[in-house]
Amino acid sequence: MVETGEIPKISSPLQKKPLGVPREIRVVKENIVAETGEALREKLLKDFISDERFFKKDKLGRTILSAAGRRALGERLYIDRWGPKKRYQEARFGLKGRCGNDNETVEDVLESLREQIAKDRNIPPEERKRLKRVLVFLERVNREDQERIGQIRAEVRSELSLILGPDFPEHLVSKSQAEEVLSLRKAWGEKSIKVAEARREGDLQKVRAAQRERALLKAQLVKKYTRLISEGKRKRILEGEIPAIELTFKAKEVERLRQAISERRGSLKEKIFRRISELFPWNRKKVEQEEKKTYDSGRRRFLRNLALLATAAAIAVTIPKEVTGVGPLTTEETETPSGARKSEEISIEEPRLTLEERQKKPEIPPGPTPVETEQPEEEKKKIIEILKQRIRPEELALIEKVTEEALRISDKFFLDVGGQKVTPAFGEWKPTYGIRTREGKQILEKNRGEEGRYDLHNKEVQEQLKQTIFQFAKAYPEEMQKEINRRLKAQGVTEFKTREEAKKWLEEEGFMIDCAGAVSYVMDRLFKQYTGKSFYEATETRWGYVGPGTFTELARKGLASEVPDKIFNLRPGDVIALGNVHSMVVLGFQINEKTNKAVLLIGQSTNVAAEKNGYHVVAIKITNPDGGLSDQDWSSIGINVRALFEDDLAQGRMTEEQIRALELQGLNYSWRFTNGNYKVYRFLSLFKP
Amino acid sequence: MFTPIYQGLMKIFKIDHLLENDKDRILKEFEELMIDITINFILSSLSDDDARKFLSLMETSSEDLVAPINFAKEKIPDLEKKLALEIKKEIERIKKKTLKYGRNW
Repeated sequence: MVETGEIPKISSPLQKKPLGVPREIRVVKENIVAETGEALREKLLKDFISDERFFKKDKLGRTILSAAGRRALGERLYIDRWGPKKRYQEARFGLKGRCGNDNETVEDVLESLREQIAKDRNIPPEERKRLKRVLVFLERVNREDQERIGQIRAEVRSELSLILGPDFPEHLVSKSQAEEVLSLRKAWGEKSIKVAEARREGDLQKVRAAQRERALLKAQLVKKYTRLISEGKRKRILEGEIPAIELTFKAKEVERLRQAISERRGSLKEKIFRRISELFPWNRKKVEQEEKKTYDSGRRRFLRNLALLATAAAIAVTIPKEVTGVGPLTTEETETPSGARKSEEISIEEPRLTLEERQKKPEIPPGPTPVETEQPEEEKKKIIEILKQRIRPEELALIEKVTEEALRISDKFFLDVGGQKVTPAFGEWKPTYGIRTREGKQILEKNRGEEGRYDLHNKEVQEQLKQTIFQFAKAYPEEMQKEINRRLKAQGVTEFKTREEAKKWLEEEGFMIDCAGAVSYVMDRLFKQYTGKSFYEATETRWGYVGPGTFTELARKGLASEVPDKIFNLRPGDVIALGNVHSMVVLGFQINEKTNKAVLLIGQSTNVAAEKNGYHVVAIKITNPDGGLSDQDWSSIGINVRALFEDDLAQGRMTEEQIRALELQGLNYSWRFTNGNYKVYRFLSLFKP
Repeated sequence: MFTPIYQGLMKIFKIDHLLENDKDRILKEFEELMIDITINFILSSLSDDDARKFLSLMETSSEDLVAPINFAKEKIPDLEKKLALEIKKEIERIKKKTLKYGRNW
């Protein structure tokens, strides 16, 4: 018996009996030579288990694997690992360098290998081991395998002769790639016609012609092969690999792209790390922390939007339309140009005014004034007509009434803070929002750690920070107003000069509102008005426990009906839920036949748009009366792209159309937050679904 | 669902013929690259003190969308525009590198 790992010495090349192999294993080996495949393996395993010789009892009487069993098992595992799939490779491995000789059979190779092992005593042990392995596998190769190998060899030869033969076009070294492909196609096209004609002749010729035609049709692939061969990347081409090669080449392109991206990312990573280590020269720990956090998903998430907007700009502005097809406007969009982003009916920051008040005070929108590009009047008329056709006439009056009511409720969010009308900023019941409050800052100062860093991971501190947000960002405006008045009085503040000051004070005092808080307030008031019950009673939820995902959950329970996504299906009081991320409430329609304007009013609290942080009303211009929510003009919701590229517009570097396209893309990127995965739910049963 | 941004990128890199999974993977990686560019650009454009403040703002408001970005916008005028130019350069660089030999063989 041979110790594992030691190579047996072979005395004669023609020795029939494998040296030093135990009898049990020899039996196994014989079986392998006789049969192959999964069935054999199963059989072997079965045999092995049922074979008593391989097992013995230990002192405690348990059945354990004997030494002979272990050896046999070792051999079997070896077979498992190098199963039939690997055999070809091994066989080829063994045939390396001998492929050109047609007359050489596997037996010949086998014989010569045996001789080599036997004669050459100077073979180092590892090499000997390898050769032995090859030998073992070649022994297992059966007649069928041998035939297959011969076939492959013949195929390779025929392909090579095709490529290297005189018929192979000489265009391979022509200048332009495109010209080359065209000319190749032409040449081969003509040839294939000739081949088709030739096929009418006798049977033998027919077969040959078919073969030729097939070869010609594979023109591009053949060309690819030559390239491969010239690059020395692939020595052999097998018939079965043709589709695989096609795919490989596609994958290769993708791989190159991915490689370029990852290389670039690597170099950027180095740059970023270098910069960070510059920033904290003496604090190695800090540098490591910062480096780690740069690649932390939470941190990256909010830079993503900025990066995407810049990408949109890069695509739309700098790369010509012919390349992207989406840069400037598509034809569909040009048909309904509407750059105007504000309607007369609604102001974003101020509460609604009566007509008289409006006439007195001309409205000044916050931020830079957008350039108004009016929609043609006729088109507007058409939209209003279509909308009126789609909405049931008996519902129109009710919609108007509920819209009025919803807007009145929504106006409650405009709080009177020292003589200024402001809405609360967006905030959530999270410690991070507590940091913004005055009290929160004090708490942080108190709890500075030893290194002077804020101790944000302390749960007690987190709890304290949460408490600084007034009623956990779900307070009703009435309660907020009461508390605001009390605090103003206590602090001795009588008035604020600007709206910004008032808003800043409001935030520092912890008056914030989250998206679901705003929605549930509007819903609650509407429910009380029209059903007598509160929203929480009707849906068996609790105040303070309603989040954006709650609406979806309630709908799943059957407490709300899902509204099909068509703009004319929406009614005041409908809730738009963007997954578990965000929710908004539909306040209603404003269809004004005198001014020919149709808008959908939506109330939401968000901080996505920096200029409108907090609760605000969005007027969505209806441009596609038969489309869904996302088909409308949402430009008033996103970041002010127009202001960003004002100079370029003035100096003619950009066109109005390009800005419009950017606005649309800006909108899409915010919708992509949930992959456009929004649902509209109706809780109020005033309107029939 | 691909937005115009992603459609644009797919057309630029000529990967619209790929399988959905491959497309997704490449676009995701590209998105990550864009974020890296954004971080790198902001950090290298800010002064040392401002960069430290930016990093600390990023830390304190990990769920907040506004504070660090607004801070960066304040310190770097026309941030988006500059970033857009940066990304444009990047797109062209990658395009040059990957489509060197042309797509037709």
